[in-house]
Amino acid sequence: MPLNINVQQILLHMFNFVLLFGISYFLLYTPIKKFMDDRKKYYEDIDKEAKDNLKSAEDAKVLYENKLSLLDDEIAKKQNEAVTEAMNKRDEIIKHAKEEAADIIESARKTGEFERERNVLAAKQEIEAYVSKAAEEIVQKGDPYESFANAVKKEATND
Amino acid sequence: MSKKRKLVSGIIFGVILIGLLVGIVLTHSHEEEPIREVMKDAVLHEHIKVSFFGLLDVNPGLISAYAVTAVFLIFALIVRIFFVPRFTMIPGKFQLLLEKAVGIFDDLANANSPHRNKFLGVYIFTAGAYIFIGTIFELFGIQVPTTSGGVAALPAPLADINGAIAMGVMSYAVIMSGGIAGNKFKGVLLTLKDFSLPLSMSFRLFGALLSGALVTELVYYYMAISFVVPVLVGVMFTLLHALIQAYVLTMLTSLFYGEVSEVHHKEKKEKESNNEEITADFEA
Repeated sequence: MPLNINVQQILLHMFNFVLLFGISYFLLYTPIKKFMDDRKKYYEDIDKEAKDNLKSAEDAKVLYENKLSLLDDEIAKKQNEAVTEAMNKRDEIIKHAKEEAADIIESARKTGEFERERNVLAAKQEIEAYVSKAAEEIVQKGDPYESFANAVKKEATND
Repeated sequence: MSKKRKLVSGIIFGVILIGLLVGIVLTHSHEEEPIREVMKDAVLHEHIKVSFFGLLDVNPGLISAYAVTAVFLIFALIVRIFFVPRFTMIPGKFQLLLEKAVGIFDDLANANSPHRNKFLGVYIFTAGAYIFIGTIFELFGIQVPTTSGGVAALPAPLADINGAIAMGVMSYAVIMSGGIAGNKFKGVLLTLKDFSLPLSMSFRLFGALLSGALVTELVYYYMAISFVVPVLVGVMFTLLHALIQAYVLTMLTSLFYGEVSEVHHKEKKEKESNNEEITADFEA
């Protein structure tokens, strides 16, 4: 054939290359590629895991932020309730104190009234006793007016 | 000038003189064979034949091809047994080199044929390594006995036209296999459309590698330029061809593979639906 082309030698070259392909496929390319793919997958998994973790952390952050905002509301609500309760209690205490004060005043007033009535009664009785005594003495001694006057004077000086 | 410096200069001068004398003696025999014959032998290998395991007489390029495969097999076995099991997550220098070599061809396959690239990746890795190592192999100038009783330096496997044709035809077959896998019978037609591809691939490889060999032969042939210059020319042509041809063939193969293995009926449907929409708009 022209240019020294030889089909047998072409086939021998092809056989050699197929052999080389097999060596390359089984001994070099595939094991190295497999290692590279495994490493890529390993880092992709780590990356994915990190992203998942980040996402879950962000979700948790949002959740806690929501909870915190709810907590603030709850704190404000509780505060309002406490203030209202305290106000009510204060009003109640004041009311109670006022009632007690009124009771004390009433009681004092009643006691005073009673004391006054008793004093008046006692004074009346005393006056009556003086009057009856003086009347007795007047009757026994003569001039009733003079005796009465004397007796009053005498009593007055004793007091 | 110090004594040490004088001594170094003297040694260098002596080495150059001895080198020149050796060169003169060695290149003397070339004058017996005309340049025309040397070039013809380098291209056609009609007279230089090497025995292939005593079975048949073949071109030295075929012996180079099997030698490259043997070297590759030993290297692959050493890597597979001693290095791959000790690969670490943070690669060392050698691991990085291996990963880079695989990664380059894998990326090339991915970029040019994103839909189908597993087989293509292995093929272009093997082809790239074969062309690169095979071309570098020429630099070692390993001598083998010829059937005529002389000796011949082993050339690059692809500097043999049979090797280049084998490579071109196999690349074409791989492209066609991609077409069949992607588009069934239509893939064959798509591949046959570029019927000149195996020819262009084969002769591109052959021409490129042969040109390097011819220039090197030419430079060695003439005594006046056979000192220092061959080192630069030989290394430059060999290394550049090793890199360029490995890149060109793998790039072309992956490009054509991606083109013919791409599933076409979807595009057609999309085009049809687009046409229908345009027609509807036009009618409206």
